[in-house]
Amino acid sequence: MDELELRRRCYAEPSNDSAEFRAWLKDNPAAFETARKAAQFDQQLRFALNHPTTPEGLSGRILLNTAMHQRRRRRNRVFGGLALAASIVLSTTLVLTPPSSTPTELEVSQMALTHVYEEIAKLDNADHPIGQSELRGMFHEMGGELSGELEQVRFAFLCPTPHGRGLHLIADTDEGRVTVLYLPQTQVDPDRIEFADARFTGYTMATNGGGTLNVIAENAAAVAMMRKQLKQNVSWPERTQLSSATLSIRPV
Amino acid sequence: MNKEKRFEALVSGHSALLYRYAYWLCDGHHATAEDVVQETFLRAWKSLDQLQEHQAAKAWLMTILRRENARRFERKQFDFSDVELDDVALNDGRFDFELDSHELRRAILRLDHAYRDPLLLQAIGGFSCEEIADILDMGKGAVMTRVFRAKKMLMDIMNPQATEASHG
Repeated sequence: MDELELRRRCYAEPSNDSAEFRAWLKDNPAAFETARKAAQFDQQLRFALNHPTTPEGLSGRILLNTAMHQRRRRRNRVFGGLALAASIVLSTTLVLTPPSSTPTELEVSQMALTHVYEEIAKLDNADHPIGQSELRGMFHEMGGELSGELEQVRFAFLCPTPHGRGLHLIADTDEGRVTVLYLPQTQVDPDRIEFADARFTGYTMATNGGGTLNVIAENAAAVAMMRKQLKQNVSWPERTQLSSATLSIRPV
Repeated sequence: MNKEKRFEALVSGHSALLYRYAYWLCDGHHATAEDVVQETFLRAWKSLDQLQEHQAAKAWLMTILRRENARRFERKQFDFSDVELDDVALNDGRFDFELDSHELRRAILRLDHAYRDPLLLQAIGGFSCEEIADILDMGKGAVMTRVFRAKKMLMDIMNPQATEASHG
Protein backbone atom coordinates (compact mmCIF):
# COMPACT_ATOMS: atom_id res chain seq x y z
CA MET A 1 0.00 0.00 0.00
CA ASP A 2 1.54 3.32 -1.01
CA GLU A 3 1.28 6.47 1.06
CA LEU A 4 -1.54 8.06 -0.91
CA GLU A 5 -3.60 4.90 -0.74
CA LEU A 6 -2.96 4.69 2.99
CA ARG A 7 -4.07 8.27 3.59
CA ARG A 8 -7.11 7.84 1.39
CA ARG A 9 -8.10 4.75 3.30
CA CYS A 10 -7.50 6.24 6.76
CA TYR A 11 -9.27 9.53 6.08
CA ALA A 12 -12.01 8.46 3.69
CA GLU A 13 -12.98 5.21 5.36
CA PRO A 14 -12.19 5.44 9.05
CA SER A 15 -14.77 2.76 9.84
CA ASN A 16 -13.11 0.24 7.55
CA ASP A 17 -10.90 -1.25 10.22
CA SER A 18 -10.22 -4.83 9.18
CA ALA A 19 -8.03 -7.17 11.21
CA GLU A 20 -5.72 -7.51 8.24
CA PHE A 21 -5.26 -3.74 8.03
CA ARG A 22 -4.64 -3.46 11.78
CA ALA A 23 -2.01 -6.19 11.57
CA TRP A 24 -0.34 -4.38 8.69
CA LEU A 25 -0.29 -1.12 10.67
CA LYS A 26 1.39 -2.88 13.57
CA ASP A 27 4.36 -3.66 11.37
CA ASN A 28 4.53 -0.15 9.89
CA PRO A 29 5.09 2.52 12.56
CA ALA A 30 4.87 5.44 10.12
CA ALA A 31 1.59 4.16 8.72
CA PHE A 32 0.35 3.56 12.26
CA GLU A 33 1.03 7.21 13.07
CA THR A 34 -0.90 8.33 9.98
CA ALA A 35 -3.84 6.15 11.00
CA ARG A 36 -3.71 7.50 14.56
CA LYS A 37 -3.79 11.11 13.34
CA ALA A 38 -6.67 10.35 10.99
CA ALA A 39 -8.65 8.76 13.82
CA GLN A 40 -7.91 11.74 16.06
CA PHE A 41 -9.10 14.18 13.39
CA ASP A 42 -12.23 12.11 12.88
CA GLN A 43 -12.98 12.24 16.58
CA GLN A 44 -12.57 16.01 16.53
CA LEU A 45 -14.80 16.26 13.47
CA ARG A 46 -17.57 14.22 15.09
CA PHE A 47 -17.35 16.34 18.21
CA ALA A 48 -17.61 19.55 16.17
CA LEU A 49 -20.60 18.21 14.24
CA ASN A 50 -22.35 17.04 17.37
CA HIS A 51 -23.88 20.49 17.46
CA PRO A 52 -26.33 22.11 17.88
CA THR A 53 -28.51 20.55 20.51
CA THR A 54 -31.98 19.70 19.28
CA PRO A 55 -34.53 22.46 19.91
CA GLU A 56 -36.77 21.70 22.85
CA GLY A 57 -40.08 20.16 21.85
CA LEU A 58 -39.07 19.39 18.25
CA SER A 59 -40.56 15.88 18.26
CA GLY A 60 -43.84 17.18 19.62
CA ARG A 61 -44.01 19.91 16.99
CA ILE A 62 -43.30 17.41 14.21
CA LEU A 63 -46.09 15.09 15.36
CA LEU A 64 -48.51 17.98 15.81
CA ASN A 65 -47.64 19.44 12.41
CA THR A 66 -48.24 16.10 10.75
CA ALA A 67 -51.55 15.60 12.54
CA MET A 68 -52.69 19.14 11.66
CA HIS A 69 -51.73 18.54 8.04
CA GLN A 70 -53.86 15.38 7.92
CA ARG A 71 -56.76 17.24 9.44
CA ARG A 72 -56.44 20.09 6.94
CA ARG A 73 -56.39 17.60 4.08
CA ARG A 74 -59.50 15.83 5.34
CA ARG A 75 -61.28 19.13 5.83
CA ASN A 76 -60.27 20.33 2.39
CA ARG A 77 -61.51 17.07 0.86
CA VAL A 78 -64.89 17.45 2.54
CA PHE A 79 -65.15 21.13 1.64
CA GLY A 80 -63.95 20.39 -1.88
CA GLY A 81 -66.69 17.82 -2.43
CA LEU A 82 -69.33 20.14 -1.10
CA ALA A 83 -68.08 22.96 -3.23
CA LEU A 84 -68.64 20.94 -6.36
CA ALA A 85 -72.28 20.53 -5.48
CA ALA A 86 -72.94 23.86 -3.93
CA SER A 87 -73.15 27.36 -5.22
CA ILE A 88 -70.79 30.28 -5.15
CA VAL A 89 -71.94 31.05 -1.61
CA LEU A 90 -70.12 28.03 -0.32
CA SER A 91 -67.07 28.92 -2.35
CA THR A 92 -67.06 32.30 -0.67
CA THR A 93 -67.24 30.56 2.70
CA LEU A 94 -64.25 28.47 1.78
CA VAL A 95 -62.26 31.49 0.77
CA LEU A 96 -63.14 33.19 4.00
CA THR A 97 -62.20 30.19 6.13
CA PRO A 98 -59.32 31.44 8.24
CA PRO A 99 -56.04 29.74 7.49
CA SER A 100 -54.66 27.42 10.12
CA SER A 101 -52.45 28.96 12.70
CA THR A 102 -48.77 29.20 12.10
CA PRO A 103 -46.37 27.87 14.71
CA THR A 104 -45.55 31.41 15.79
CA GLU A 105 -49.10 31.92 17.09
CA LEU A 106 -49.08 29.02 19.48
CA GLU A 107 -52.49 28.87 21.09
CA VAL A 108 -53.54 27.06 24.24
CA SER A 109 -54.93 24.18 22.18
CA GLN A 110 -51.68 23.85 20.24
CA MET A 111 -49.63 24.08 23.41
CA ALA A 112 -51.72 21.27 24.85
CA LEU A 113 -51.53 19.07 21.76
CA THR A 114 -47.79 19.66 21.42
CA HIS A 115 -47.29 18.56 25.00
CA VAL A 116 -49.32 15.43 24.41
CA TYR A 117 -47.22 14.59 21.35
CA GLU A 118 -43.98 15.31 23.18
CA GLU A 119 -44.98 12.75 25.78
CA ILE A 120 -46.79 10.45 23.38
CA ALA A 121 -45.09 7.29 24.65
CA LYS A 122 -46.65 7.89 28.07
CA LEU A 123 -50.11 7.39 26.60
CA ASP A 124 -49.26 3.74 26.00
CA ASN A 125 -46.95 3.14 28.93
CA ALA A 126 -48.73 4.86 31.80
CA ASP A 127 -49.82 2.10 34.17
CA HIS A 128 -48.98 3.29 37.65
CA PRO A 129 -52.07 3.94 39.79
CA ILE A 130 -51.86 7.41 41.35
CA GLY A 131 -53.30 7.91 44.83
CA GLN A 132 -55.87 10.60 45.60
CA SER A 133 -53.69 12.32 48.21
CA GLU A 134 -50.90 12.71 45.68
CA LEU A 135 -53.37 14.14 43.18
CA ARG A 136 -54.79 16.50 45.79
CA GLY A 137 -51.28 17.81 46.45
CA MET A 138 -50.65 18.35 42.77
CA PHE A 139 -53.90 20.19 42.15
CA HIS A 140 -53.21 22.26 45.24
CA GLU A 141 -49.85 23.26 43.78
CA MET A 142 -51.67 24.46 40.64
CA GLY A 143 -54.10 26.50 42.74
CA GLY A 144 -56.98 24.03 42.56
CA GLU A 145 -58.79 21.85 45.07
CA LEU A 146 -59.56 18.21 44.43
CA SER A 147 -62.51 17.60 46.71
CA GLY A 148 -63.78 14.31 45.29
CA GLU A 149 -61.92 11.53 43.54
CA LEU A 150 -60.42 11.30 40.07
CA GLU A 151 -60.66 7.67 39.09
CA GLN A 152 -58.08 5.52 37.37
CA VAL A 153 -55.33 8.08 37.04
CA ARG A 154 -52.29 6.20 35.67
CA PHE A 155 -49.74 8.97 35.36
CA ALA A 156 -49.26 12.29 37.13
CA PHE A 157 -46.37 14.66 36.77
CA LEU A 158 -45.61 18.33 37.27
CA CYS A 159 -44.20 19.09 33.84
CA PRO A 160 -42.39 22.13 32.46
CA THR A 161 -44.69 24.04 30.09
CA PRO A 162 -44.12 27.25 28.09
CA HIS A 163 -45.21 29.43 31.03
CA GLY A 164 -44.07 27.47 34.02
CA ARG A 165 -44.73 24.21 35.77
CA GLY A 166 -48.00 22.57 34.80
CA LEU A 167 -49.82 19.39 35.65
CA HIS A 168 -49.97 16.38 33.34
CA LEU A 169 -52.35 13.51 34.12
CA ILE A 170 -53.24 10.41 32.14
CA ALA A 171 -56.34 8.55 33.20
CA ASP A 172 -58.46 5.70 31.93
CA THR A 173 -62.17 6.12 31.34
CA ASP A 174 -64.77 3.72 29.99
CA GLU A 175 -64.42 5.51 26.67
CA GLY A 176 -60.63 5.33 26.51
CA ARG A 177 -57.49 7.00 27.75
CA VAL A 178 -57.54 10.72 28.50
CA THR A 179 -54.87 13.33 29.08
CA VAL A 180 -55.49 16.25 31.41
CA LEU A 181 -53.14 19.20 31.21
CA TYR A 182 -53.09 22.23 33.44
CA LEU A 183 -51.23 24.97 31.57
CA PRO A 184 -50.35 27.90 33.82
CA GLN A 185 -50.66 31.50 32.63
CA THR A 186 -52.94 30.68 29.75
CA GLN A 187 -56.54 31.69 29.20
CA VAL A 188 -59.44 30.10 27.44
CA ASP A 189 -59.60 31.12 23.81
CA PRO A 190 -63.35 31.57 23.20
CA ASP A 191 -62.93 30.55 19.54
CA ARG A 192 -61.09 27.36 20.39
CA ILE A 193 -62.73 25.87 23.45
CA GLU A 194 -63.08 22.68 21.49
CA PHE A 195 -60.21 21.67 19.27
CA ALA A 196 -58.97 18.69 17.32
CA ASP A 197 -56.32 17.45 14.98
CA ALA A 198 -56.32 14.29 12.90
CA ARG A 199 -55.90 12.10 15.96
CA PHE A 200 -56.99 13.89 19.10
CA THR A 201 -59.92 15.94 20.21
CA GLY A 202 -59.76 18.32 23.12
CA TYR A 203 -61.53 20.82 25.30
CA THR A 204 -60.17 23.79 27.22
CA MET A 205 -61.72 24.55 30.61
CA ALA A 206 -61.33 27.77 32.52
CA THR A 207 -60.01 27.71 36.09
CA ASN A 208 -59.54 30.73 38.28
CA GLY A 209 -57.73 32.86 35.74
CA GLY A 210 -54.32 31.48 36.55
CA GLY A 211 -54.31 28.84 33.84
CA THR A 212 -56.44 26.45 31.81
CA LEU A 213 -57.33 22.82 32.19
CA ASN A 214 -57.16 20.96 28.89
CA VAL A 215 -58.72 17.56 28.35
CA ILE A 216 -57.49 15.59 25.34
CA ALA A 217 -58.35 12.12 24.07
CA GLU A 218 -58.75 10.16 20.88
CA ASN A 219 -62.51 10.29 21.12
CA ALA A 220 -64.92 12.98 22.18
CA ALA A 221 -66.85 10.72 24.57
CA ALA A 222 -63.74 10.17 26.68
CA VAL A 223 -63.15 13.92 26.77
CA ALA A 224 -66.73 14.47 27.90
CA MET A 225 -66.43 11.86 30.66
CA MET A 226 -63.28 13.40 32.03
CA ARG A 227 -64.68 16.92 31.79
CA LYS A 228 -67.62 15.77 33.89
CA GLN A 229 -65.31 14.24 36.50
CA LEU A 230 -63.19 17.38 36.67
CA LYS A 231 -66.22 19.64 36.90
CA GLN A 232 -67.65 17.60 39.76
CA ASN A 233 -64.45 17.09 41.74
CA VAL A 234 -62.09 19.99 41.16
CA SER A 235 -62.73 23.54 42.20
CA TRP A 236 -60.62 26.62 41.67
CA PRO A 237 -60.76 29.07 44.57
CA GLU A 238 -60.34 32.68 43.57
CA ARG A 239 -56.75 33.68 43.80
CA THR A 240 -55.99 36.29 46.41
CA GLN A 241 -53.00 37.81 44.70
CA LEU A 242 -53.62 38.44 41.05
CA SER A 243 -50.83 40.00 39.10
CA SER A 244 -51.28 41.73 35.79
CA ALA A 245 -48.80 39.31 34.24
CA THR A 246 -51.02 36.33 34.87
CA LEU A 247 -54.20 38.04 33.76
CA SER A 248 -53.24 38.52 30.16
CA ILE A 249 -52.41 36.03 27.50
CA ARG A 250 -48.71 36.13 27.03
CA PRO A 251 -47.49 35.98 23.47
CA VAL A 252 -45.46 32.92 22.69
CA MET B 1 -47.55 -1.71 14.64
CA ASN B 2 -49.96 0.77 13.03
CA LYS B 3 -48.88 3.69 10.89
CA GLU B 4 -49.08 6.25 13.68
CA LYS B 5 -46.94 4.20 16.05
CA ARG B 6 -44.37 3.57 13.32
CA PHE B 7 -44.24 7.26 12.60
CA GLU B 8 -43.88 8.19 16.26
CA ALA B 9 -41.00 5.74 16.56
CA LEU B 10 -39.33 7.34 13.53
CA VAL B 11 -39.72 10.83 14.96
CA SER B 12 -38.46 9.95 18.42
CA GLY B 13 -35.59 7.89 17.02
CA HIS B 14 -34.34 10.17 14.28
CA SER B 15 -35.50 13.77 14.71
CA ALA B 16 -32.41 14.86 16.67
CA LEU B 17 -30.01 13.39 14.13
CA LEU B 18 -31.98 14.82 11.20
CA TYR B 19 -32.04 18.25 12.81
CA ARG B 20 -28.28 18.22 13.19
CA TYR B 21 -27.86 17.06 9.61
CA ALA B 22 -30.25 19.75 8.36
CA TYR B 23 -28.50 22.42 10.40
CA TRP B 24 -25.18 21.72 8.68
CA LEU B 25 -26.78 21.30 5.26
CA CYS B 26 -28.58 24.63 5.71
CA ASP B 27 -25.38 26.51 6.45
CA GLY B 28 -25.98 26.76 10.18
CA HIS B 29 -29.46 28.28 9.96
CA HIS B 30 -31.62 27.04 12.84
CA ALA B 31 -35.08 28.05 11.61
CA THR B 32 -34.49 26.70 8.10
CA ALA B 33 -33.14 23.47 9.57
CA GLU B 34 -36.32 22.98 11.59
CA ASP B 35 -38.48 23.77 8.55
CA VAL B 36 -36.61 21.23 6.46
CA VAL B 37 -36.95 18.61 9.21
CA GLN B 38 -40.70 19.31 9.49
CA GLU B 39 -41.13 18.96 5.73
CA THR B 40 -39.03 15.81 5.74
CA PHE B 41 -41.24 14.12 8.30
CA LEU B 42 -44.39 15.30 6.56
CA ARG B 43 -43.18 13.68 3.36
CA ALA B 44 -42.08 10.61 5.30
CA TRP B 45 -45.59 10.32 6.75
CA LYS B 46 -47.13 10.46 3.30
CA SER B 47 -44.78 7.78 1.96
CA LEU B 48 -44.41 5.66 5.05
CA ASP B 49 -45.68 2.60 3.22
CA GLN B 50 -42.56 2.71 1.06
CA LEU B 51 -40.34 2.07 4.06
CA GLN B 52 -40.22 -1.69 4.27
CA GLU B 53 -37.33 -2.27 6.64
CA HIS B 54 -36.92 -0.49 9.93
CA GLN B 55 -33.12 -0.68 9.60
CA ALA B 56 -33.26 1.39 6.44
CA ALA B 57 -35.13 4.25 8.12
CA LYS B 58 -32.15 6.49 8.80
CA ALA B 59 -30.86 6.41 5.22
CA TRP B 60 -34.41 6.80 3.89
CA LEU B 61 -35.09 9.86 6.04
CA MET B 62 -31.75 11.46 5.26
CA THR B 63 -32.39 10.99 1.56
CA ILE B 64 -35.79 12.65 1.91
CA LEU B 65 -34.19 15.49 3.84
CA ARG B 66 -31.59 16.09 1.16
CA ARG B 67 -34.34 16.23 -1.46
CA GLU B 68 -36.45 18.58 0.64
CA ASN B 69 -33.47 20.84 1.09
CA ALA B 70 -32.79 20.80 -2.64
CA ARG B 71 -36.45 21.59 -3.32
CA ARG B 72 -36.21 24.66 -1.15
CA PHE B 73 -33.31 25.86 -3.21
CA GLU B 74 -35.32 25.31 -6.36
CA ARG B 75 -38.14 27.38 -4.94
CA LYS B 76 -36.08 30.14 -3.49
CA GLN B 77 -32.47 30.88 -3.05
CA PHE B 78 -32.17 31.70 0.60
CA ASP B 79 -30.34 34.74 1.68
CA PHE B 80 -28.01 33.53 4.35
CA SER B 81 -26.31 36.87 4.75
CA ASP B 82 -27.95 37.24 8.13
CA VAL B 83 -26.55 33.98 9.41
CA GLU B 84 -24.13 34.78 12.12
CA LEU B 85 -21.32 32.36 12.23
CA ASP B 86 -20.94 33.18 15.91
CA ASP B 87 -24.11 31.22 16.25
CA VAL B 88 -21.91 28.21 15.68
CA ALA B 89 -21.01 28.60 19.26
CA LEU B 90 -18.48 26.97 21.46
CA ASN B 91 -19.76 23.81 22.96
CA ASP B 92 -19.36 22.90 26.60
CA GLY B 93 -15.85 22.44 27.87
CA ARG B 94 -15.76 18.68 28.14
CA PHE B 95 -12.86 18.38 25.76
CA ASP B 96 -9.59 20.16 25.42
CA PHE B 97 -10.12 20.97 21.80
CA GLU B 98 -13.22 23.12 22.04
CA LEU B 99 -11.43 26.10 20.54
CA ASP B 100 -10.42 23.97 17.58
CA SER B 101 -14.01 22.75 17.33
CA HIS B 102 -15.21 26.31 17.02
CA GLU B 103 -12.83 26.92 14.15
CA LEU B 104 -13.64 23.56 12.66
CA ARG B 105 -17.35 24.38 12.61
CA ARG B 106 -16.66 27.59 10.76
CA ALA B 107 -14.46 25.68 8.34
CA ILE B 108 -17.16 23.05 7.70
CA LEU B 109 -19.61 25.78 6.73
CA ARG B 110 -17.07 27.05 4.21
CA LEU B 111 -16.89 23.69 2.44
CA ASP B 112 -18.60 23.40 -0.89
CA HIS B 113 -21.74 21.26 -0.67
CA ALA B 114 -20.27 18.69 -3.04
CA TYR B 115 -17.73 17.90 -0.32
CA ARG B 116 -19.80 18.77 2.72
CA ASP B 117 -22.69 16.40 1.93
CA PRO B 118 -20.74 13.12 1.93
CA LEU B 119 -18.73 14.27 4.92
CA LEU B 120 -21.92 14.95 6.91
CA LEU B 121 -23.38 11.61 5.93
CA GLN B 122 -20.26 9.92 7.24
CA ALA B 123 -19.66 11.97 10.39
CA ILE B 124 -23.29 12.56 11.44
CA GLY B 125 -25.09 9.68 9.77
CA GLY B 126 -22.37 7.13 10.47
CA PHE B 127 -22.69 5.67 6.97
CA SER B 128 -19.93 3.81 5.16
CA CYS B 129 -18.66 5.09 1.81
CA GLU B 130 -20.66 2.39 0.10
CA GLU B 131 -23.88 3.48 1.82
CA ILE B 132 -23.14 7.13 1.06
CA ALA B 133 -22.63 6.19 -2.57
CA ASP B 134 -26.13 4.68 -2.61
CA ILE B 135 -27.68 7.71 -0.96
CA LEU B 136 -25.94 10.20 -3.23
CA ASP B 137 -26.30 7.98 -6.26
CA MET B 138 -22.62 8.07 -7.18
CA GLY B 139 -19.72 5.65 -7.21
CA LYS B 140 -17.96 4.55 -4.03
CA GLY B 141 -14.64 5.79 -5.40
CA ALA B 142 -16.07 9.26 -5.97
CA VAL B 143 -17.43 9.33 -2.41
CA MET B 144 -14.06 8.31 -1.00
CA THR B 145 -12.35 11.02 -2.99
CA ARG B 146 -14.80 13.67 -1.83
CA VAL B 147 -14.64 12.69 1.82
CA PHE B 148 -10.86 12.56 1.66
CA ARG B 149 -10.69 15.98 -0.01
CA ALA B 150 -13.21 17.45 2.41
CA LYS B 151 -11.08 16.39 5.36
CA LYS B 152 -7.94 17.58 3.67
CA MET B 153 -9.52 20.99 3.02
CA LEU B 154 -10.62 21.22 6.64
CA MET B 155 -7.15 20.36 7.86
CA ASP B 156 -5.67 22.91 5.49
CA ILE B 157 -7.99 25.58 6.86
CA MET B 158 -7.28 24.55 10.44
CA ASN B 159 -3.56 24.25 10.05
CA PRO B 160 -2.34 25.61 6.74
CA GLN B 161 1.35 25.17 7.55
CA ALA B 162 1.48 21.52 8.28
CA THR B 163 -1.37 19.20 7.55
CA GLU B 164 -0.82 15.56 7.63
CA ALA B 165 -2.88 14.88 4.54
CA SER B 166 -1.93 17.94 2.56
CA HIS B 167 0.62 16.04 0.59
CA GLY B 168 -2.10 13.76 -0.75
